[in-house]
Amino acid sequence: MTYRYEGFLFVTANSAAAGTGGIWFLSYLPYAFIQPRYETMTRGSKMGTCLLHNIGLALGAQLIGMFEGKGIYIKLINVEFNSKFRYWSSMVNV
Amino acid sequence: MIIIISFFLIIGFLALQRAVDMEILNILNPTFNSSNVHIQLQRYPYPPYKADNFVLVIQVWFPFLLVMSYIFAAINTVKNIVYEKENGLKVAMTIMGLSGWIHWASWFTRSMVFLLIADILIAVCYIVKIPITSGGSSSVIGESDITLVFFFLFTYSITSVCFMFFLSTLFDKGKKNLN
Repeated sequence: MTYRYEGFLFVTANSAAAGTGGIWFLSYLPYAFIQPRYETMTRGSKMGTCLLHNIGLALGAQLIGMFEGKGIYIKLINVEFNSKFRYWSSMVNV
Repeated sequence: MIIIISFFLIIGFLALQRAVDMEILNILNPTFNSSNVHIQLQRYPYPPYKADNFVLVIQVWFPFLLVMSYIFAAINTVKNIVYEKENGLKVAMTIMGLSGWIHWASWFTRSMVFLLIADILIAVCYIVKIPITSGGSSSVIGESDITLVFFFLFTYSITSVCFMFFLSTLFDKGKKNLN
């Protein structure tokens, strides 16, 4: 017994490509508001924002940049949380 | 050895401030002897950091660069999946007895292989130090561990593929094929 799910946007493949680009960028956009508040955010709220996978990437990349500024190796423990929550977000999306 | 020269010391503000303070103390306390007071100047300690302008650029633009470098893979994958649905290829495969999870697993494998190549290339190109013309060798993010950055990008690729699948379910040309 199977059912057929139909998307709510009835568009062609080319329009889907354009829409994907737009949604991809939109899912990254909240990072512009998160970056100035990075120092004041709690760990929980950072993890919550990592549910959007692009923000998780952006925060992780920012972390790499910050450790780069200190001139030391980036340690695994700091990125571990980001990775964990991006696994979560993948499961939510599926 | 870095010689630290305080701005307040150069312009003479500290000398003026000390003179005023000592004069106030002399007035309030006639037995006060200002030659017993020794004042030393030290900068507020700060942990070591690299004074490198390029690191500032990296901190601002690195996330944006990474997101934009994956956008083409996302567009391509979603377009191909929707194209497959649009032309009824998926329905044809389903009629022939292909179960849904195998179909998605094949798309996942196909996307991950491409993204894996991209991940390896990104990690290598950003981290491996290359000789530069002005002497020495340098790289974009040379301090980070290459396996860690690769693992980071790899987990991001997994979620990216899942997000692409999610987006591909939003776009559908189902109505046309039903009629």
